[in-house]
Amino acid sequence: MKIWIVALVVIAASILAGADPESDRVAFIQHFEKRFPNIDIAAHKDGTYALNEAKRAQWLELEDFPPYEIAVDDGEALFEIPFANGRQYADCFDNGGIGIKQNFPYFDSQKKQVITLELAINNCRQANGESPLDYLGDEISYLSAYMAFTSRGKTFDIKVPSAALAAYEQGKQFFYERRGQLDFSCSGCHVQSAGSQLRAEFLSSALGHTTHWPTYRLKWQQVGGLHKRFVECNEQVGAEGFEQQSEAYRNLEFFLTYMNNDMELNGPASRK
Amino acid sequence: MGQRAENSVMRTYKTLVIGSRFKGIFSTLAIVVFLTSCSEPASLKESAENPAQTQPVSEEPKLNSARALIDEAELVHAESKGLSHAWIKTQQLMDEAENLLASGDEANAVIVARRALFVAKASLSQAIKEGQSWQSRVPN
Repeated sequence: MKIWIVALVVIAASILAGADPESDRVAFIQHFEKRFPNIDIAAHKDGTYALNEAKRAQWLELEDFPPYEIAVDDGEALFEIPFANGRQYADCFDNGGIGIKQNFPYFDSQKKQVITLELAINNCRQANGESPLDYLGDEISYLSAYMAFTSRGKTFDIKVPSAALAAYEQGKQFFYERRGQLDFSCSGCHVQSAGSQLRAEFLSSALGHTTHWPTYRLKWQQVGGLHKRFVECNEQVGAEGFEQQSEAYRNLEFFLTYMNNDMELNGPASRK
Repeated sequence: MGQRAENSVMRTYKTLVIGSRFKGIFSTLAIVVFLTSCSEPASLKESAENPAQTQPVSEEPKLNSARALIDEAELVHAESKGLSHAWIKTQQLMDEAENLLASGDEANAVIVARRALFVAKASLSQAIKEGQSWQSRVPN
């Protein structure tokens, strides 16, 4: 009963505020068109490397021998290993798990929650009697790197059905709320200040933030997922991070990925 | 507030205005002053509606013992956490205060616990404020 009341309140609030996901997305894109009039919207899939030529040149050199390549190979090998019951990862996903990342995350209307690719991998394992993988471990990063690789060139097609509006709004609120002792919001850096310099770094735009995960970060010296980056961002501003695949981060990923609809997937990728 | 202000204004009015050749002007001024004194400033009204805003984060805690301060900081920190706005610093300071208390250094434990409570209140204040102000940052 309570859930229905909350859902109705959120829907009513959205209608009253005149906001819906698609008009949010259009306004979001228009913001970056105005902010970067000389940069094609599609180019933001490369993050900060779309905004600065010198950084882009260095990054392209790194991509000559991409540090995530081994993760993709290992991920493919892991993907093919059958579970103890004889079934495989491929049995859990549409199209045998190949070229499907553009549909993640999605809202599961029966479970009433956002399902990310990493959560779906672990759900698949548990449904087949296997233990879930550590979200910060290599194995799940390799599996998702392989699955992302098979989706390269496809474009995000995230749906927000009416049952998903509450999750979408929660993700949106998280993105725009200031948090931590430094009083920063995700949007403060990656919408309002995108392209500005923080010491030697240039702030990437939020448009394109979800196209290239998982990512090999030089700082991490490994391939890691988007939620690992969320934790890092939160902690950098003095806020306590949330659990990997927590509801808060899944909703945030849902909102951000919807903002990236129609953008090309180019994961896995490398970043500093 | 209302009765006192009214008496004071009426006394001033009688002294300055009655019999004066500027009666009309003084009358108008007196009415304006009276009405102003009766109305609550907008900021006070807002604070009354939102009790959390009536307690500025810089307010000196009335608690004196380290134990009481740490307990209070933990409560406020938990409230911030419930609103997804817990700060790392709060936990660090609470841990530090606990360690000082355990080592028998009550005086320094009180100092650190006060800091912990201050920071916890700041995080809660942020959570309450952001619950309303985030929408102003959405591009439209």
